[in-house]
Amino acid sequence: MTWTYAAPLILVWWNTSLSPPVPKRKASEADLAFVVKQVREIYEQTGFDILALGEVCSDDLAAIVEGMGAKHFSVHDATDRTSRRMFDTAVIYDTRKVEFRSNRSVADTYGRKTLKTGEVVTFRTVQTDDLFQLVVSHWPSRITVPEFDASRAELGTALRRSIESMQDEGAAPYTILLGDYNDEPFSRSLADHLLATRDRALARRDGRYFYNPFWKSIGESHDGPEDHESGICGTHFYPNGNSSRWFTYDQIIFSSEFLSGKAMSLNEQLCTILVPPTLRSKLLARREIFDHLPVLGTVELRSKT
Amino acid sequence: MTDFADAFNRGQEAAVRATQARAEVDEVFANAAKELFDVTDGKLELARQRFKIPVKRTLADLVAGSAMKALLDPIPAETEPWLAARNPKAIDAEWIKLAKFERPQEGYPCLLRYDNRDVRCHDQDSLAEAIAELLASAWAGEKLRELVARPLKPVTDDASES
Repeated sequence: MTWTYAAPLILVWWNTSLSPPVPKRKASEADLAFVVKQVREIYEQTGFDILALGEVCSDDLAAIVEGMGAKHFSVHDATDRTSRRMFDTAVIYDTRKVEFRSNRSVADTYGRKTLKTGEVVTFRTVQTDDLFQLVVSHWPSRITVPEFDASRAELGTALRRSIESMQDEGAAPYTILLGDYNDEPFSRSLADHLLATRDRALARRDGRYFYNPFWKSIGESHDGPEDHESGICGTHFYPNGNSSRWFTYDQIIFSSEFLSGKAMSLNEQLCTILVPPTLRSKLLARREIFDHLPVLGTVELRSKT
Repeated sequence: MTDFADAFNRGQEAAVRATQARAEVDEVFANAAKELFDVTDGKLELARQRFKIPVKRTLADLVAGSAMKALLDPIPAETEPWLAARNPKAIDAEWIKLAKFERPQEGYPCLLRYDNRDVRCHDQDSLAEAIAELLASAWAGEKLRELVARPLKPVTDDASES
């Protein structure tokens, strides 16, 4: 028996900056129009099947989907601005490629404070009939929960335990984690507690580990200063950063099974940071609200022959 | 060289913290149970109960003879803890599941799993909040409403005299 390539499954994550989890919204109508246009361009260029978004509300989602002008997309709206929690993630997906099966909200609570660890969405691939879990996260900023606060590490542990628990209950071995973790690939929460390693062979050999291809995206994108017009050094730009103004907070992480060469296989060549020129310019401009670039992940769907 | 005395002392401190944390968890459940019992005139009891884990049938179960073998040589059923409720005054006073509950030896974080939510609570206040949120949800609300509405046991003369 061999596995034959059937189709790609293309995923994009973007923290839009439109509706952050704070009471007062700063985004203008022009900002929303820019995001709508940007999503349409990203769709035209990547042909994504799944677009996971952060810092959006239901109204933003309606405008984005309408702006895409594609009737075959549906939305799993996991946002909630009615309670003090203010959850802000959602998933837009191509119903021709994936079928929504279920969702699960995972939260960690401390006193009256609730941290959303992740939104788990289970999909079935239409063409190859495989199940997989997508876990969308927008972890708290380092202003809300400082870099070395114990609860950041707890988020990594909690996420890993939730996934282990799902596996114990019979979930598919294919899990894709994506989002804005407000932590770097080398942060303890992700590297030591979630066990998202840079070591592909280790992740392939030991199913407890996740593989994080975004370890490669923590430095300068270009070798020389002549590329300053298009260069980046991460996914998030914060002009007042101390040791760096760039941070790789936005990542797509894959469970070990994606490295086993079976039904769903990671295509690492198409895992990268997307750098639309206008968005990059807005990131670097202090007066703009935008501070995150989108990231792309790709999986090959395969069928048995 | 390994400092066993230090390890022992740290273990003793951890044991004290764990005992205290478990007592806090017990206190939250006791308070929630009492308030529910009082507000429903004794028609709702809330407690942590263990339920058998449903056994998944495998292909082997379908093979001739293995079902009979399982009957003759049963494996003890595994159980798991749930937050459960019942109406002790009803004819049908069986416990029903509200949320799966996990608590480690250390007391926290404990997990409430229900509907499509996993809520991991890291202290006493957050556990109290999470239980309140569960009780306020439509998920638990419908189950509790059904329990309270169950036909009641007839009151016997003995009971009325006591």
